[in-house]
Amino acid sequence: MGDIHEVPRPRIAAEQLAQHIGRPVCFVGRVMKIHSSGKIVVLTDGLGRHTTVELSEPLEEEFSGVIEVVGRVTNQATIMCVSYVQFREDKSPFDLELYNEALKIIHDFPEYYPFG
Amino acid sequence: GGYTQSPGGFGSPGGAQGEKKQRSRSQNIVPCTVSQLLAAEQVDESFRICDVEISQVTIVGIVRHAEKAPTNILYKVDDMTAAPMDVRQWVDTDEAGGENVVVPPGTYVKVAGHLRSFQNKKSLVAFRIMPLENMNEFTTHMLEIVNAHMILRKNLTSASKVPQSFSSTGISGMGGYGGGGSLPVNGLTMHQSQVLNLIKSCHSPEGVSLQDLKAQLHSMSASTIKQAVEFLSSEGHIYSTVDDDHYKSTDAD
Repeated sequence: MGDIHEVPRPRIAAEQLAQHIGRPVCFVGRVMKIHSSGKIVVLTDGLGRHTTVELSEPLEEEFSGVIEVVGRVTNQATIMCVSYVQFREDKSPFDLELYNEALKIIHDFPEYYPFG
Repeated sequence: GGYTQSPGGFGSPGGAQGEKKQRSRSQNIVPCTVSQLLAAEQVDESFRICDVEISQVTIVGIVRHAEKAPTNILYKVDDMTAAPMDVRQWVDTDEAGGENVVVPPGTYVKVAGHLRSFQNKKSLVAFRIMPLENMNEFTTHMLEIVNAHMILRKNLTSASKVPQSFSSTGISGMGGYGGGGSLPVNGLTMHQSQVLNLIKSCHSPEGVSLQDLKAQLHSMSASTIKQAVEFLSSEGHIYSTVDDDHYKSTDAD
């Protein structure tokens, strides 16, 4: 899977992509649109903002769940994904808005939630 | 008096009681990030993150790697804050079935365990590894980390400099974290608050016994009460008097 998993990958929301160009990040979002190749997807974060991600492996057509992407931010503020996982929602739906609230908190208090 | 230098004892020369306080302090389980654990400094037998002592911790992350050996399973758990952390789970070789099931890579888990350092490499010895069934628990864990470390660090700076030392019976103003209107009340669960309030309301010299607490708190089981008492004791809200079953509040008037 490469070196990217050995370094800190800050969790960010869509509005912070521009500040992380070229850097490894972790992004969580719900799949809104899947390109026919299955590899380009548009994710929405907890604030409803869209992000385009180029996946390492194609997603199946009908997938509409939440995925967590590890990758690097491109110059166009999209994400080149190195790996991703699906969040299970078989027992309970994932509250993406709550996750965005949590992101605000960890960004406001980096001394209590350090990346690296 | 003879108690002034005692680190935690009340009523004893400080040996046995001091050790007991030490043990109950490290019975708190602190939610952490892997980055915090890697940055923790080792001081003798214990670890500190920004001066907050930690021993038992929880982390939430994704299993990147799982390797089964005869006596243990070695996982690498990744929470994105640093490189994945080694988590070792000892396997009961006599027991067949459930205990020895390996959690597959790609699964999000919550790990509870002890922090260890060997040849300068940190790892966790897990006593519990649970796959997350509800991913909202992962979000909750992030919030709990910020909350716990914020409260623990603030307790250190606002409390008196010798937290677990009670220099004499007469002075209650020197009580550890409980005095001075600092944060702790907000950090207590409902059960802990109920137990503390009952103990505070008692004015007899030997304090409230665990039996008294059980008799008055019908909704709480004996083990819940005991856990609350241990937590309150290690945080400095209460202290034991004639024996380990009797407690008084450091805030009592």
